Amino acid sequence: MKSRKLYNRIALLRLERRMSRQELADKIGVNFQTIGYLEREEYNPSLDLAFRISEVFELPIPFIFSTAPLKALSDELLNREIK
Amino acid sequence: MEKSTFMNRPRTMIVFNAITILAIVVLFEFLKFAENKILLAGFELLIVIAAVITFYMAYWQTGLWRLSHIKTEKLDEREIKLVSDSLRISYSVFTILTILIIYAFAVIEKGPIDVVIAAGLLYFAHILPSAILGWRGKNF
Repeated sequence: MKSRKLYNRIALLRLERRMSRQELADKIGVNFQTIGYLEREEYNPSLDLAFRISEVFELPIPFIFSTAPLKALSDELLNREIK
Repeated sequence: MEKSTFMNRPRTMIVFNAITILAIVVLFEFLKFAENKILLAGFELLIVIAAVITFYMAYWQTGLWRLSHIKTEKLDEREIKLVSDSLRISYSVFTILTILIIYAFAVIEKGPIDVVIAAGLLYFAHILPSAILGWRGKNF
């Protein structure tokens, strides 16, 4: 079965917290290059890895990952639809 | 960032390394019947040196060898998937190649495969997962 593409906000959240890829990688126990793959949405994380990421950012998984393109945070705050 | 040139592309060095191994095997066959064995043996030695250099550049320097030979506990889930995919493909490729070689030897009635071909196949079995990883162009 071909898995669906997962969209995420990892890059945005990492930059917001002024965290390097290496720092995030160390916190979730992966190679720093895997962070690049996750941020470019070229690799879908396992449920365990998704939980680790959500624990680092202290945010729920549906806020970080989605099967549909994610809205910009400003749109999310104002509850606007994607054009 | 290091500029990608013809010589530092993993694919180029993987091909060069495969050519040197093939050359070692072919030259060894010629060596059995050659009159000037010393000249050919010297040439064979040069190819062995070239094989070592291309192995270093293709597999050691790039980290491909480490990735395909390290314990899985030291890899993350993406790396485990990459290695497992490369092992799956290399298993098929190696099986087909070995069967073809054995059949070819049987057809031409050359008897069992000789020690250099066996050593070449052993080396090939070891580098194949790394070669597939490098060929597919993933970061490691």
